[in-house]
Formats: sequence, C-alpha cells, structure tokens
Amino acid sequence: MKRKGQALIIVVIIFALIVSVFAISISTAMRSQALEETEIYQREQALYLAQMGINQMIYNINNGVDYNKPPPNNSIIITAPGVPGAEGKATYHKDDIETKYGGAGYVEGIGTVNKSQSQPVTRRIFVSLTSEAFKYCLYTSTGGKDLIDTPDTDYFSNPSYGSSYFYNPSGTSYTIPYPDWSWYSNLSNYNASPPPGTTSINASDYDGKVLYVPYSSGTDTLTVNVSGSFSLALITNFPNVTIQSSGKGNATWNSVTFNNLTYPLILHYPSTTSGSLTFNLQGNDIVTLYGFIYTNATFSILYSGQSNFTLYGELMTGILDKIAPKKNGTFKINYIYDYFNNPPPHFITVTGTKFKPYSFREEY
Amino acid sequence: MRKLRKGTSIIEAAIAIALIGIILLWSITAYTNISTQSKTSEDIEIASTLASDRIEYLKTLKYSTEPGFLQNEINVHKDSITWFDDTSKSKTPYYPGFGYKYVVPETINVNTVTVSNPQGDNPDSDFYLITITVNIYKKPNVATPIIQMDCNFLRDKSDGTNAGI
Repeated sequence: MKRKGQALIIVVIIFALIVSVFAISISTAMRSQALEETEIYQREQALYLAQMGINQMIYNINNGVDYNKPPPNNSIIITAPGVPGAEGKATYHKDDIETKYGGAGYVEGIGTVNKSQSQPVTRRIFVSLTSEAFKYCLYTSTGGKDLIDTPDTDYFSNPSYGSSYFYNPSGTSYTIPYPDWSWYSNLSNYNASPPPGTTSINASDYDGKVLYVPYSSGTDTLTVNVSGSFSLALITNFPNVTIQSSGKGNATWNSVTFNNLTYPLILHYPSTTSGSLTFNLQGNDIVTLYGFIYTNATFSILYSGQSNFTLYGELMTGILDKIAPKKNGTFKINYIYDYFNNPPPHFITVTGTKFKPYSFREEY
Repeated sequence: MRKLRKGTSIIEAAIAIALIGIILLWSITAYTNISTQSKTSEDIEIASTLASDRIEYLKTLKYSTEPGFLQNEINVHKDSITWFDDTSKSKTPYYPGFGYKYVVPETINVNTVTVSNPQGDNPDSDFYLITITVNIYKKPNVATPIIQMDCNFLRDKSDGTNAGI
C-alpha cells in the first residue's frame, strides 16, 4: 500500500513542475519582448547613424572634398559619440543613377550598432544629391555679365526659385558641377558620332541623336550649323565650339531623350578651360533652345544683327563673356524645367550640394 | 500484522514544506525578475520613442539662433533635463517621470566657404552641421540616461533650410 507521505511529495513535485513551466514560459516571453524592444531601439539608432554619415558626407562635399573616386576613397566612417561600438558609413555612388535613384549621384548610408557582436543591427538607406547650381537661369564660375545695367527681368525668368543668375566678380572663382565625362564619352551612352576629323556639322543631319564629337588633335574648333527645328544632344570636348546660325531664318533646338534620360542640349567639356562655346547669330535670326546648356569654358554670344536668343532651361558655364544683344535684339533665359529636383544626368556636384527632396529610401 | 501508518511522517512533511518553500522562493525571484525586466523593457520602449520624437522634431526646425529655431532649441535644452511632466497641451508628449537633454560636442562644424557675390544672387553656400546626443532620463535616476541616441543636422545657413536628411 502506498504511503500517503510519498503521495504528498509527488503532488508537490508535480505542482513545482507546473509552476516552473509556467514561470519559464513567462520569463522567456518577457525576455523575447525585451530583446525585441532593444532591437527596435537599436534599429532607430542605426537609422540615425546612417543619416549622420550621409549628412557628414554632404557637408564634406560642400567643403571641397571629392568622393568621385574608386573605393575606399569614396566613403567615410563616423563614430557615434553616445553609442559605443556603433558607426555610420556613407558611400558616394554615381553608377546606375538613372535606373535606381535619380539625381546627380547618390549616397548610401549604413548605420551599424553592436558592430563587434555576432549579430549587429544594421540599417541601409539612400539619398540622391542635387545642387543649388541647378536652381538658376544662368550659373557661372566666374566672369561678368554685361547686362547688369538693365533689369534682370528683361533677361531672366525663374518662377520656380526666383534665382535669376549667379556669377562672380572678376578674380573670384566658384566651382560649378562637372559632368562625369567617362560616362558621357562611353559608347553605350550616345548613338551618333561623325567621322574622325570632322570639324563642321549640320545639326539637322543628326536630328534626334545624342551626338558625341571627340577631339584628338588638329583644328580645335567645331562648328555646328543650326537652322530649322531639330532635336540634338551635342557632347564634345573640342576646345572651341561655335554654334552658327544661318542668317536666313530661325532655329529651334530641342533636347533629346535617350535610354530614358533627357540629355543636355550641349555638353561642352574641353580639357582646358581656355576654350569657348560661342553662339554666332547672324542677321535677325531667332534662335530658341529648350534644355540645359553646359560648358566649363567661356560662353559668349555674338550678334551680327538684331537676333533673339531664348533659352528655355538653364545655362551653366565656367566663364561668362559677352551675351548682351544688340539694339532691338533680345537675350532671355526662362527657367521652366525644375533642374534642382531633376538634375541633368551624371553631373558631379560640388559646392551647393544638397539632399534631393523626396529621394530618401531604405533597402533591406 | 503491522499497523498501517496514517498521514505523513515529520520527515515527509518537512520535505514537502521544503519543496514548497523552494518553489515559492524561486517563484518570487522569478516574478521580481520578470517584473523588473518588463519595467525596463517598457522604459526602453518609451525612451526610444521619446528620443526619436525629439530628433524628428529637431529635423523640422530651420537653422537660426532665434527662439523656436534649431540652434536656440538645442541651446535651451543642453544644460539641464527637461521633463515630460507638463500636462498642458502645449508641452506634449506627456510622459511623467521621463525627461530629455541634448549633449552637444565641443565643436560645431560651420562651413566657411562663403561666396561674396554683390552683383548677383548668392547661391546657398554656407552650411552648418551639428552633432548631438539625445539623452532620455527617468526619475529618480538623473545621473544616467536610459538611452542615448546620436544624430546630426545639416542646415543651409543662408535660408536655414535642411540640406541633409
């Protein structure tokens, strides 16, 4: 016969087991919740660290640091002052902008908390970059505008940002964004190129094309004859480029979209800034352009008669020379495209670089 | 014939009582731990939310030393803890017992690339970058923050707008 004392012990042990299982379950659940809360907190930390890295990089770019370099010189790492073992890393990218992120380059930010542990918490975010330079009708590094004695409104219209022009007094230089020439001169990024040695072309012959005209040696001036209505993206590194109107009528130059990218009307990027991009307007021609014009050399307009020059877009030039029309002629730039939010493709921004609005996104 | 024993012996009863005692002791300890853990977890959750809330609020502020703007806001809350104890609607959120303080490093980065362009518009070129740590405290421990969260803010000084994220 069973002893009743033993039964009591067995009952107590079973009771103990039940209580133990119950307590362990609650403890495990609470521990999981605590870990979850900690992870949520750490994920927040990691996010802000990623943002810190990006902000630091944008700040550095504005201070003249160039991250348009191969790894590891295209990235920075910052440590967190309040969170030991945490860091924020920012990396500058310019590849695949058109297919992935837009803007004039983008920055990847990675925030990591508990870096030394086996399971660090990481957040990875991206932002695109743009530049204040894309807010202007006319933006130049240096030079003087010879229209200063007349009201700006005669020459510039910018309902989006109100920024008519920027240029520096003589002797003061300011850095303008520059194109990623290796991209623009890549065979896959243009669809027309004249025979080697060509120094004169008719724009209408390349209607609808992205035309790459490389310079190697010899005659250093490329002449582009314009008349009628055409679409063309002209990419060249000729030291001097002259856009010649016919003197017999009007010319309307439209931009080209290729591979889903709207190219600049003119991308003039000679290796020497002593070159020039000159519009030579004949007679009373009316020349109208729709798009973005870039030269890192000297931009000027010559008027032989009472021509009208009208650009619906933006002019960005390294040096600005004379652009004033003759009597009864006109010069006008209307900023009608928002280049700040949609900068021309593959430009490297320098001073004035900012986070492109609404470009923040996170990838897991 | 041996007489059957009824009930329990002292030893058996003692063993049972000892077991029950151990269970009780263990249960109380476990309960205390769970309770503490739960409290800590809840505190971290609240503190994390409050820290993020502070950072997101600061992100909305333009740069200026004027009251209500970024630099002023940081200056006002960097020396002492501000408690979320105020029930007035203007002082939301209301989290009694919790407070915050900004820890500011010694140096504040201000871009000195200022372009003078008296003849034309000035592009935004002067930038301000400040890194701070948002500390969240809970009474009565005002010496050690529950959590610390780092962040920085990049502002265009000419118009105070956000140049970063």
